[in-house]
Amino acid sequence: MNRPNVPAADELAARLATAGYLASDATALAVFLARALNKPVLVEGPPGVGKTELAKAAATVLDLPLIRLQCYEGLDEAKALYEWKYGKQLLYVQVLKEQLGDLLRGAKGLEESVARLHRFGDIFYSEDFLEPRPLLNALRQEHGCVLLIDEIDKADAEFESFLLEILSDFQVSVPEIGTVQARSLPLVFLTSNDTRELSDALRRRCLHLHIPFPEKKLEQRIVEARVPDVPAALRGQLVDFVHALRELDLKKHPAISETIDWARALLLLHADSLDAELVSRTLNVLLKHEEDIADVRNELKALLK
Amino acid sequence: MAHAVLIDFIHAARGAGVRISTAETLDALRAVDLVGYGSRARLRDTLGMALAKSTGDRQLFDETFERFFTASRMAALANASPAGDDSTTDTAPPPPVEGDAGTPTGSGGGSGGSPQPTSALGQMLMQGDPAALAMAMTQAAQRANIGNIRVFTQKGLYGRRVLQEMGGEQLDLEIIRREDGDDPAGRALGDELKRRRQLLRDEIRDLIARQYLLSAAQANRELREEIIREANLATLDEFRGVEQIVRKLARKLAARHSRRRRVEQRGLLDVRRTLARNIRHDGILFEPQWRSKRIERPNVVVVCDVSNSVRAYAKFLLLFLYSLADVLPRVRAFAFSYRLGEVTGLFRDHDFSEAVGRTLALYGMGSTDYGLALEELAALCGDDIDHRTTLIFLGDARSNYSEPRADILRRLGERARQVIWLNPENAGRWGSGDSVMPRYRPYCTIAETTRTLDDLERVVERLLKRA
Repeated sequence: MNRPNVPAADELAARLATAGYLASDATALAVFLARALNKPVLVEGPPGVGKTELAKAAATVLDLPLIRLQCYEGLDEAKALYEWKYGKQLLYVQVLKEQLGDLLRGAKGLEESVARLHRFGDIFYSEDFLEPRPLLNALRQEHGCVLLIDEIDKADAEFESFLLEILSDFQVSVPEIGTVQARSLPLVFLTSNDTRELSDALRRRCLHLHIPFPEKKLEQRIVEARVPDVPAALRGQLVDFVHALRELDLKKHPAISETIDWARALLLLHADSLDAELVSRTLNVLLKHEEDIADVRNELKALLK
Repeated sequence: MAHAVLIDFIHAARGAGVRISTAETLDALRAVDLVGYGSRARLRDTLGMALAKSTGDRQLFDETFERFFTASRMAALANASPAGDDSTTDTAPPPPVEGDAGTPTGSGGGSGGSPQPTSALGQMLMQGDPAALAMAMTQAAQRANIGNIRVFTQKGLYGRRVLQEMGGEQLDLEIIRREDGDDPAGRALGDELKRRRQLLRDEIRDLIARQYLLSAAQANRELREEIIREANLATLDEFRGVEQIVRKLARKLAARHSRRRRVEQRGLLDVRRTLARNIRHDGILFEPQWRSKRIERPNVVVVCDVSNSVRAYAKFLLLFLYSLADVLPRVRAFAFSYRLGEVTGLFRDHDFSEAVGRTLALYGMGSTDYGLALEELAALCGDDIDHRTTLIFLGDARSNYSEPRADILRRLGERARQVIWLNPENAGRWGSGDSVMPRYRPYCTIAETTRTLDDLERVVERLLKRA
């Protein structure tokens, strides 16, 4: 197995920034440790703080392909790991039926026929008929990859236990073929929105990274990087406002992506400072529940001070 | 030495309630070897990622970290040789004294000028290097096994042991010798040593106090949790941290039972498996395969009596319910004393104390009327109760001599999968006074006395297994 060179945490942070992902120190450190220790990272945090983005950015800066497995209820091995190409197997069986006669011609007795057949035994369950799914694909990458297992909490507990072998040993058993060992260790990110408690066994095998909503300074830098045309004064104001919203008791707090959308919207409206009228009209970009919008409208005066 | 400190820390973190496995300990050591002790924030993040695997754990972890990695300890660690090359932590202690401290040779070894201390610890004290001293102290503490301290009366004992491990005996001898000597310079040195020894003792005492807080906390918490779980629900108010434990119980149950698979008799055609199966028949499809597993979610309706007589219980039953609703998406909750109403929305939108407060304010007034409550329940959600529903009642079935309307319970019970009645009263008292429990009993799949959290857990576990 190849062990890649690992850039240090500071350098990773800088490189992630050039890829458009402004990472906190802890986040860069997590990527560094994951790479250096060959451990998967379990990323948790509120929706919209860039958990999935982190994996994408890491793939970009490490120059590795990104392989993504989106989890959902009922996801099973056949969709996550591998599948046999049944259609192809079936077709080959039909086509090759005639060949069988040729193959067995001249064989004396049943035993010899069977012996001849044995030589071709596992053709139909060989790599040629294997349809790799994301997990197997990730293990078979020659130069490593970033494997993103997104929203693992949506998958069933059974699937979680099935993942354990891959996460700790980077290998997996395919009954017909045997154990498939990773050619090169993938960098694994698992994300979770905490809809279900993950098992301790899974948590133990991962490094744990909690990404909270960013601090004001970081969020300002993120807005600056993503929507560079927003004037600095407005940027400060809008980030302050979003942070004030996150203090409130809302159904859904605005995430970073919503801050960015809002900044874009304000830019389109040629705004250069926030006022109650403007905020009130554009609140629906930030908040996605009618009650939240109504609540915030009532408090707008206080929030904008 | 550095590894020894980390292991101490992990011990402490475990004490604070962070669950840490051996594999994680090794991960943490490897990670710290890579990152080093240069930055405290980075050390915290590194250890946190490797050791604390959930948000709750992380909080406990951070608290322990703040207490454990004090500035002086960080200084000692930063000065220590790069981590990793002295990872033999539990070997025998090095001899604490070198040379001939036991043989007095006049004062100061005969040379002129001010006298030098002869004992190793004395020399270290006079050099006044706080980092070296802190390191020596940590090492000595490690050798004295202060991680084992459990009760506060052991503080003095462990303090003496640490001092002894640092070479305190030789220091004591030297001080006595110098104070008895004739040389004024020697006597002055003796006084100074005595003063510094006192400072060192103070520091050791702090170290022990810290360690006591860290390691004794665990034992105490386990004990407390046991007590709480066995305490009568009505008295739970007197304990702190009950909420956490109730929530833990509910989460555990919900995680185990939130979804279950059932093998059904019939299902949809599974094309993939059908093809795979029939290859052996030349690809002629005559052995169809069906998707026959169905995922079921328990569908729970809970009705909770919140009247005065059971209010103390109700609060914790509601808490339990609240935690369940947090994790089981299909729980509908109703509360009543005189009026009955649905509180599912309240529980969803507010935090616990708020939700309970509002529930009690809305439905806690008036005298209990089980008959009326059943009527209203049937009107509100009778149609939604079907063969998948588990119906749970929490209450003492004391109906103030009003008509119990057991016929409604029978009707609902016939339609539901099961009816569970959790009664805080002892079964012996059922039927006494205005209790109508015997009237309801025949229509309940299970009726149980539920006085403690342990009872509650047992019953709910059984319930979810059957659901």
